[in-house]
Amino acid sequence: MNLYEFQAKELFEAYGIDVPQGKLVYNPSEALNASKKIGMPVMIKAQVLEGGRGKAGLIRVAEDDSKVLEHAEDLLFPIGRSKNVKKLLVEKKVALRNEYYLGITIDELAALPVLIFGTTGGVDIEQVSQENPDTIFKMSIDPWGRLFEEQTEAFLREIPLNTDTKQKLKSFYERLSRLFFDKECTLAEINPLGLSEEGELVALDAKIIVDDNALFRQTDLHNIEYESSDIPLENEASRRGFFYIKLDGDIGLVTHGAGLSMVTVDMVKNAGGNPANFLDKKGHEREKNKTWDIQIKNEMDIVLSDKRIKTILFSVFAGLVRCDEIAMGLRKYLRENRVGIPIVVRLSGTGSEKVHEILKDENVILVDNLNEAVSEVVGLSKKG
Amino acid sequence: MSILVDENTRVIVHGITGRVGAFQAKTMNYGKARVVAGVVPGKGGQNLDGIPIFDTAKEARSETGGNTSVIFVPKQFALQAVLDALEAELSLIVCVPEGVPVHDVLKMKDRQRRGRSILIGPNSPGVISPGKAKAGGMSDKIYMPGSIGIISRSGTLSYETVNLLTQSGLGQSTVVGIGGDMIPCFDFVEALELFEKDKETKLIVVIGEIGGTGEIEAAKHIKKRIRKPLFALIVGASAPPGKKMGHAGAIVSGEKTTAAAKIEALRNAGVRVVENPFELRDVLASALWS
Repeated sequence: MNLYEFQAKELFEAYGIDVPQGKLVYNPSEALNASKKIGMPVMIKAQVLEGGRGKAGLIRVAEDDSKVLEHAEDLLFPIGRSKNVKKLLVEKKVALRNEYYLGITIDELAALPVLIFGTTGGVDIEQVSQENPDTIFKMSIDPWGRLFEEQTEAFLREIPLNTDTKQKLKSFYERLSRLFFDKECTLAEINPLGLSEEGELVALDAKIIVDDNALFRQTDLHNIEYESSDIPLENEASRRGFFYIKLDGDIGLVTHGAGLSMVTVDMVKNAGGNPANFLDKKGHEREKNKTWDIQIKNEMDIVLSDKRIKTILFSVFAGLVRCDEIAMGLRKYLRENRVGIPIVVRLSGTGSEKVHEILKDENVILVDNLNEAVSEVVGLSKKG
Repeated sequence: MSILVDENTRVIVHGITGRVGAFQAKTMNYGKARVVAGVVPGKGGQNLDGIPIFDTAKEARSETGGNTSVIFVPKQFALQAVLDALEAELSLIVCVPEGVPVHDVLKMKDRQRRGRSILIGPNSPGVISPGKAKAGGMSDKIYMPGSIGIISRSGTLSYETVNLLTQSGLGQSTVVGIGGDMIPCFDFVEALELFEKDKETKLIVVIGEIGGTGEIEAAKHIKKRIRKPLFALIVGASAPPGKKMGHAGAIVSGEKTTAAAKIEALRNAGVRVVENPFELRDVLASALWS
């Protein structure tokens, strides 16, 4: 779960990490009111999830009322640019002496959380660590969230900052660390971290990614307004308990298991076809639904609501689950819904010997293995 | 031989009274391996169809001689179960639940590093040495004994692949599912080391996918240390960047995590790389039988 800047900054404030005075607004007149309260000059920042907002022109500076209105108007109602900005953060523009980078993330290779400080801010930290590794300071941190004074002091000694700023940095790190562990983040990042003319540190931007697997117990986050994707079908699938990723083709895929679903997409492409989606059931979600009927209906409904598709490949290899139960669920769906496009069915593994009997009266093309299934469905998609 | 599980495997099932645990416990009386105990905190002293249940793995181990834990508890209890199994210093722990929070995984990995247990998973389908032993939830019917060692991030893809191999008479020494999470506690490199030393394994197969750098690390290791013939199936070449393809770990998030980068790294290490299970079957058949 990738938080918007304004949401991440609310968390920063709750953890005592200083952020510039700011207000979330939805239209130009609100932006103007906010900027009057805050005082010029202000930053006007589009609230979107993707990075690189600066380069994309989604962050603006305004020095007077007319500029505030002009920028807010342009960001919210752009001409000739796809409109996806619904909210703006209006913030006090802080006069700066310097900008740095501070973040905590997970080092996959070391399997440990890692603290990263960079002497330049507002940069792509991965790129900097390739090009200017000398400007980056890293420290593996305790996965249980304990802070070790000596370790922190040793880390700070390496960093080229004056003593006063180092002490402030330490307190920022401790607060960010508490947030990182409390909210089970995979990333908690301040980029840039500003040093104001007055010598105070301030989080100019905020990026927080919370581990999706931990959301079930991060109940505080359940109320915040959030969509994981810009694509409504993907969000709907996620609410129904499975992964659906929209691709741009015309072959609908109903498949189970991440690896097998991925290879199916690859194989369809390599055979000259164009998959319309990737689909994978999410682990144990099915247990809640109990029956295949509901799961199959959910999956077929979502896949079929993409009107570009000309044909469907329904393919499962049953290791733990049973093909006959899946076939029964599919039969029920086919009898209750008018699908209207050809469906290629491949059910292998446990219980597959009963599949033919169950589906023999249905309007489906039954094939024995994935290879045949792929060439059949790609052939159908080409028939126009 | 074979790796990780064999004739001497004695299984302790964490979560044996749950729906999945109770069902899977029976399937692990396979080959020469036996399920000797279950662990469910608070239910010590009870039994499931004659299998004694203990409060902790430590008690289960000392009472029954169990040496391997297979964990079938709900994801929110996975950390607690793994720590309990680590406390008992079992030689192998297989963590099956999917969707375990990554902060819990970091904690279990931290504790595992300080001991000698091998910890596989989370989100692992388990390990099977066909004909000998099974520690996990896979259906044993599709496997057959042989000389191919398989390491896979994906459960379903390994089932599909193994099924094809078995139909063609290509047996397996051991098949290990390391899981599709961002942090697999047992990785490709550790599995490769074990297969390299195993006398029964003649060929090694790596089944990988987009996301993470496990396959890149594996390629480096293969170049330096592995002498046995290596084959790899890498999937997800057609995945769009930035989208999580089902597995928590399957997301293209940088140059090194694409299928193309992994394929190139493995080819440079002398690995024969293919892109679907059918091709894999064909190249393995010609390697074994020519």
